[in-house]
Amino acid sequence: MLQIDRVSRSFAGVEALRNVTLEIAEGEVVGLIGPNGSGKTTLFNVISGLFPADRGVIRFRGYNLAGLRPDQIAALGIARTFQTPRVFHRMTVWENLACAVFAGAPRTSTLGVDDRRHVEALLEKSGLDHRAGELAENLTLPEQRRLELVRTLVADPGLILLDEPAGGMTPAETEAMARLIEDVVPDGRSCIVIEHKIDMIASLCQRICVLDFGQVIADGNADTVLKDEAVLEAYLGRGKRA
Amino acid sequence: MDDHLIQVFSNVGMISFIALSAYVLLLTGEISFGQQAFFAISAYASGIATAMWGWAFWPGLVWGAAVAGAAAFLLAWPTLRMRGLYFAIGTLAFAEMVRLIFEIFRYQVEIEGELVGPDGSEGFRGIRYIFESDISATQYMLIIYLLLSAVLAFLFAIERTRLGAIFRMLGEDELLAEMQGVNRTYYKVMATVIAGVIAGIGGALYAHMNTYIEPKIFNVMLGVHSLAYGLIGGLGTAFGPLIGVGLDIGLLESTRIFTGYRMVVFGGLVALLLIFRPRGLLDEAAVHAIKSLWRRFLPAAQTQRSNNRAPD
Repeated sequence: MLQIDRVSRSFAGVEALRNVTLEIAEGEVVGLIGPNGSGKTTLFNVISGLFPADRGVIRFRGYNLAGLRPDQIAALGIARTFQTPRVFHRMTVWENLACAVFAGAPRTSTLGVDDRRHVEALLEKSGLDHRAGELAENLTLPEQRRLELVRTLVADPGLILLDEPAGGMTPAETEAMARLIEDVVPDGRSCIVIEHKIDMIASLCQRICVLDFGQVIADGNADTVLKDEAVLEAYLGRGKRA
Repeated sequence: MDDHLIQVFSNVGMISFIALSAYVLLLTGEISFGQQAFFAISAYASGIATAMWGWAFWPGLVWGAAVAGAAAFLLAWPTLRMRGLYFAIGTLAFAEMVRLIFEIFRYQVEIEGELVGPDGSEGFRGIRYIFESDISATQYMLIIYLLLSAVLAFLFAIERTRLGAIFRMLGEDELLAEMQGVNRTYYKVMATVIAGVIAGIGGALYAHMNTYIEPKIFNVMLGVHSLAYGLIGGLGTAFGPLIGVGLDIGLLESTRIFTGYRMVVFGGLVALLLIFRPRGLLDEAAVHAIKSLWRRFLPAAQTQRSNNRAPD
């Protein structure tokens, strides 16, 4: 479904991504981990068209994403969330989701009955149904993250990029978010999850990919990757593991 | 209604068009100091159509608004590559360019032994269609408010549709809107053209009411005011800019006591509002609160139906 082939991206001479190669299959949920500054969010930004890659090719369902604008990439079926939750603060929860319907459906001028049902179902799944009429700026952080997550599902994307969906959450909130992701993300969708909470990643993802200094240093089964020498060194630092 | 009051109400109506024009762009997150350019372009174009080409008022008004819309389209492509402050400066430069062009623009024809048409900085006299057609000041005021109601109805209608939702998405978080599939450039060009046409309607009405226009009328202060109306009145609804216009012209102009200090009061009001209510009196939160309050007084069934209000 998604092929990332030797993608590099530099900022002012600093290589944020170096020859990153990664393939995500249809319906696969992959964890993307790595220390701060390892290039995880940069990879999301390059996939979603925020920055172009300096070198390399990204293909999604056979389409080369090079030169496409973010809206064109979204229209192909890639949706994402952000490390700091981004919602339309001056709109209600319902309006946030309604806007996502409009954004993903150029021929829709008004919301139909099916659109409304779809939005209502998503609100119910996210547990935000009782907050539908509330301005998004009044939501708590976990609620904003839940809103972000269900918003990505409105346009029925094929690939979802979740950037630290449990960032800043308590263990109980993290657990609830993990259950929500399990509940809403399947149905054949692929998903890449960036997260520092390894337990959450291990419970959600069959496969984990590790980035360090912009390079893939490990990629494979969660159990194997989390015991990998290079991964432990990247996270804990040389000579500190003992 | 006495003549002075009719004059004040007519001015409030005409200036409301340019305020709504700036409001459309503010909705999409763009600050324009140049809406007076479209007001001017339409004033000249419609005046030329009726006074020189012998057109009737309504085709002249449509022509003026269309030319203003076309000019907005031409402005939109290069300037929308700019963002924020750079866009604002770009629109200001465009408006000054238009004004300076009208300072040297001469196009006159002889009609019944009299030269009629734009004469550079001397202005454009003799746009007399309304007076020659025996349309009274009261009737003309009604025409102004009829058109203003039509523009307001249009803005309220688009606020309830996809277009309005997308304008607000772009205004609040351009990147997030793009990430959800919104083509930023396309919709910003559309907003600029809509704003140009709305300012154009106001410009055509202005030219025909005053019979005389000159370039200095369309200076930067008109652009600053048009922007301030929305910021004072609020960006939560199209009524916001009208409240801004009402506060400025209706209150300060009609209560002559402030006349000498009008600009001081106006500037102070804008400064205070920007500090305490950066998105105006009727901002999104205020509109939301009013809607919530309104729903509380509706019958239960209606409340249930509209509980999850959305642009529908």
